[in-house]
Amino acid sequence: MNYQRDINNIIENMEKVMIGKRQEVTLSLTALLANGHVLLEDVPGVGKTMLVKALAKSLDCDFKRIQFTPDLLPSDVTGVSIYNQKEMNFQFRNGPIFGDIILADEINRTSPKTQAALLEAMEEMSVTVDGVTKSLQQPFFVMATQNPMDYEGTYPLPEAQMDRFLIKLQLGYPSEAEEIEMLERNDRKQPINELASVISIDTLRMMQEQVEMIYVDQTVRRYIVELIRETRKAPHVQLGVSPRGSIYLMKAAKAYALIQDRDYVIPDDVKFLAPYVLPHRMVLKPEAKYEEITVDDVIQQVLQSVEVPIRKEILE
Amino acid sequence: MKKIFHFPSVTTFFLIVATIILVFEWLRPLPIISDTNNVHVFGLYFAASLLVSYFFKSKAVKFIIKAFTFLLIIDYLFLTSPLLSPTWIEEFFSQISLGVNLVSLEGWLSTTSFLRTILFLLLLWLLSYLLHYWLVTANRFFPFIAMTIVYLAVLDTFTAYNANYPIIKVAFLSLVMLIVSQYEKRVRESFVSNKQELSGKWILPIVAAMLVAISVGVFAPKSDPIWPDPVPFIQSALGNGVLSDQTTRKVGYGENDSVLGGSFVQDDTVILEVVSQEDVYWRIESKDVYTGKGWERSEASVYLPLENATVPWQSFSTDAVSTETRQVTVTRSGHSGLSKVPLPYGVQEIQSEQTGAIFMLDQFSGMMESEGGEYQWLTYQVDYEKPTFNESALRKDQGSIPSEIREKYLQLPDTLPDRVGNLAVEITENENNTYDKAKAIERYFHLNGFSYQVEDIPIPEEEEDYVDQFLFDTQLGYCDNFSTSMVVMLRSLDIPARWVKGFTGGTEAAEQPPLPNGYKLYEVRNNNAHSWVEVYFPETGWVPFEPTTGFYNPAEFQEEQQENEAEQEETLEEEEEQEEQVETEEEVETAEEEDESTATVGNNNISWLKVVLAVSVLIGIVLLLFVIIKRRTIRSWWLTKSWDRLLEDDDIEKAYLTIVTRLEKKGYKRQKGQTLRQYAVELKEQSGMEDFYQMTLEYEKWLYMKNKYIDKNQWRKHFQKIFDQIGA
Repeated sequence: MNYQRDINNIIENMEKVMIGKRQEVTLSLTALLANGHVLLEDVPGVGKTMLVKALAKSLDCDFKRIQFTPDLLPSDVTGVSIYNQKEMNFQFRNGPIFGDIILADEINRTSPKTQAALLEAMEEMSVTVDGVTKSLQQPFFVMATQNPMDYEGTYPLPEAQMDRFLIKLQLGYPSEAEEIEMLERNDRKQPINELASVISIDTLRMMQEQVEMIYVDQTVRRYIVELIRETRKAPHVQLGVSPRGSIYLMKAAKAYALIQDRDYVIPDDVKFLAPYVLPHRMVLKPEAKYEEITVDDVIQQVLQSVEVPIRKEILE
Repeated sequence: MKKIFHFPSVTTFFLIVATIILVFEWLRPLPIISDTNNVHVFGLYFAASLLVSYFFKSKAVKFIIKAFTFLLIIDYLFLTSPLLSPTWIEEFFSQISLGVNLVSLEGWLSTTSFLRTILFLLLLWLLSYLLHYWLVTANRFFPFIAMTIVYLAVLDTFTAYNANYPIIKVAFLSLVMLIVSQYEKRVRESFVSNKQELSGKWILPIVAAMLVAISVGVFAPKSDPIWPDPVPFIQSALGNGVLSDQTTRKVGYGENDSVLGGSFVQDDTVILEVVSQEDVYWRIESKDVYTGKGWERSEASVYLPLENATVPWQSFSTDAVSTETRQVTVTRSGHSGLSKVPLPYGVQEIQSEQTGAIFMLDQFSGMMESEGGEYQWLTYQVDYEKPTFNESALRKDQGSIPSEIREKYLQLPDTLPDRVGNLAVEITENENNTYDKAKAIERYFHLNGFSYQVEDIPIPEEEEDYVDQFLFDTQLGYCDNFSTSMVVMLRSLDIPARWVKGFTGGTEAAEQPPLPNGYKLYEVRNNNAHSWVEVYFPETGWVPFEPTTGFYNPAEFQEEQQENEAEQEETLEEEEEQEEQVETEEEVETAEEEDESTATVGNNNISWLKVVLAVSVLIGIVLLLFVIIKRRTIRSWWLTKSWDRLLEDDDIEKAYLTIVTRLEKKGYKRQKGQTLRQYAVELKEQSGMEDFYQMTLEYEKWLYMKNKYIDKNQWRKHFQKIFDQIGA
């Protein structure tokens, strides 16, 4: 089954709203197809919400938005059990997390326990309230946004929780021409309101299953592992990428291969995704900051130092 | 609009100009080694052709300009009618047909110079095309430079052309050309033209370093060659016929005199260093058979080693001549190319302190060889009796001549024109004895406007006689002309005479070592190679005579008298007394034929070996040249072949990686960590290598997908295109 047309439709549809952000659009679609989640880290007003909305609308999905504030409670995310006096029992009222696509806005503004509730749901694909576990249904796609760390009044996400996100993205400011076009499009009406869905939710589920079928050769797998291991050995690195990171990288590569209309992964997929999948899983030594070395620099260096497999490997 | 005129780049223009200069170096020796004239015209034609190829894009324009220049030159050199008029065209084609007819009748060598010029111009046309391709399109010209240097070296070694200066020029130019072309190559191959790296500043120090290196090479003292000169060996191995097929030769001693004539060019290599009290003629050998073109031996040389220092061979009888005992020390130079041992008249004893030096004598011609010291430095001491011939004794020396002397030394060819004999009779009609006759003939040349000249001396044509040509046509010549003529005239008078070769006494060295007793150091050079005459007297033996103008007979004659001079003035009468002569000629002929048959057998063996050697050397050179010129084709053929085999064996990985390796060798480096696709995209975008990109996609599929199917035909096409593109 070929989903190339559907994929192109989604991307084109989203591009009607997201001007000049094809790469970010593709990456978020990659995360969605790989059953992963996206962390958007950027200043307010660059279109983080727009991206999520556009994705949700294109897919004909149930879209929920949670605005994280310092006083938000875990139950505001997961839902609460309310006593029904008529029926004399507690009834669970689903929180916003029971949506298909969820925008977790400014996730670092809320307290760690609320953060933990969201992140647990993301990892476990279920929520437990008052001893009752309720599983979430597919698709379940969280796109969390956060302002850069050095803003005041924030609770930075701990490393273990950053690890739950498949991809970390930055949108960045649009170029001059893009911004002008944006103004033109928003002059009279909101284009986001006119966006129609292009695929059904069932098609999306089938595509997600298709991703599982993508072939990853052992040479490529070995390449992934070498990359990951290299991040642990690289200088300036205090904490390298976890094994979960390598699994995520492979999953993302498979989804990306599908988007590229290929039923096998090539090292180029891995190389393309590594700067989005790996950085938020690493911690640099404090001195790296003084030498103005960023995680992205380390990733680039790793990518350049690990040899790409160009031969078939002989099994021993 | 299509541009017809363009100027590709300064560097290629420089290469073009340098090539024109190099081709001029090719043309420059032509007048010296062949009978080509007006070389500048050919040079200009080549320069024009190359520049036209360079500056014009349109093939039609190139062709028209080159063809028109071609016709202009033909018009300038040969044709008188106005250019391209009907008579002109008629003349043009009749000349061509004449030339072609001559070729079909008598072979290439005898065709008209018109046809040869046309062919040479066409050759230059082709050459300009080829060199333009080499320089501008392929940017490779090393074979051309190598050929130029080999060409000059061969000319310098084997002909009279002196390439000392040209070879320095060529070396300098070619180094600059290599630098410039390397620069051009870098500019062409660089992905991004990095202005910093490619600015030509680095050329200046390199040129300076090169200039220093070359001037050191030119001015530094050079030691003499350590190895013996291989040239005489090569020449003897190839046979003089191969290399003497030219109109000019270097002066010097050579064994082959079968075709005399042609110009000589001076060569002042020192052959002998002689410590002696006076300068004497150095005799090497005599020859007895005159063929009408030159001299040959009637008997093959038979060398017998000397048993002791005494030389058992005398040209004259010491009893009949008063002599003085003298001693001389001779050093024969290692690079003289001489295996003979030159001897003075009256030689008695010869010895050398060098170990292994054995002297071998040929009794017939008096020629001595040294063995063990061949082509090496050889120092020997000669004791000789310096003769002083008594004129009155010689005048009375009129006894009967032994039959073996008559047989050998009265021979003349049938083809000798009668007027030679008639002239001899005329000259000598007032003389009544052998000595005076010989003297009269010797003097004849001095008194009748025969002049000595080494240049522009013709070789007699097929039907011409060498002596006849000299005596009646040219009256210009050098020692061979004079001496041969004298011998032939004497023989026609029934006086036995023979032709002798060797060296004159040379000159006193400019720097004299301290030598006792009036001894002096003489230097005998190749320039001193000489030939003269010996006349037979029954009692005295063989007496040397010197007919050549400007030379003095080294042998002393007592009682020299002036009275004979008057005789010269009245030599216009004719007399017929040739009966005797005819008889002797016939006799000699039969003897000659017999001798020839034996000599031919001996010679055949040697020449067969020589031919085999020469042919195999030639084949070797041709093969080597072929490999050098075609090495790219051969290598790419081999690469394609082995690559095909990899593909056939389904060794897809190796087949693909071979291409990657070749690309990397050609300067398309794959960065570390670069994926194949990134690499292919880079090549595609920067060098337009679409085929490599397609191939890479296939390979990726094969490698990361375990896809077994590869379209081999498609791959072959890709491969060929990639190879064409990178010029592997």
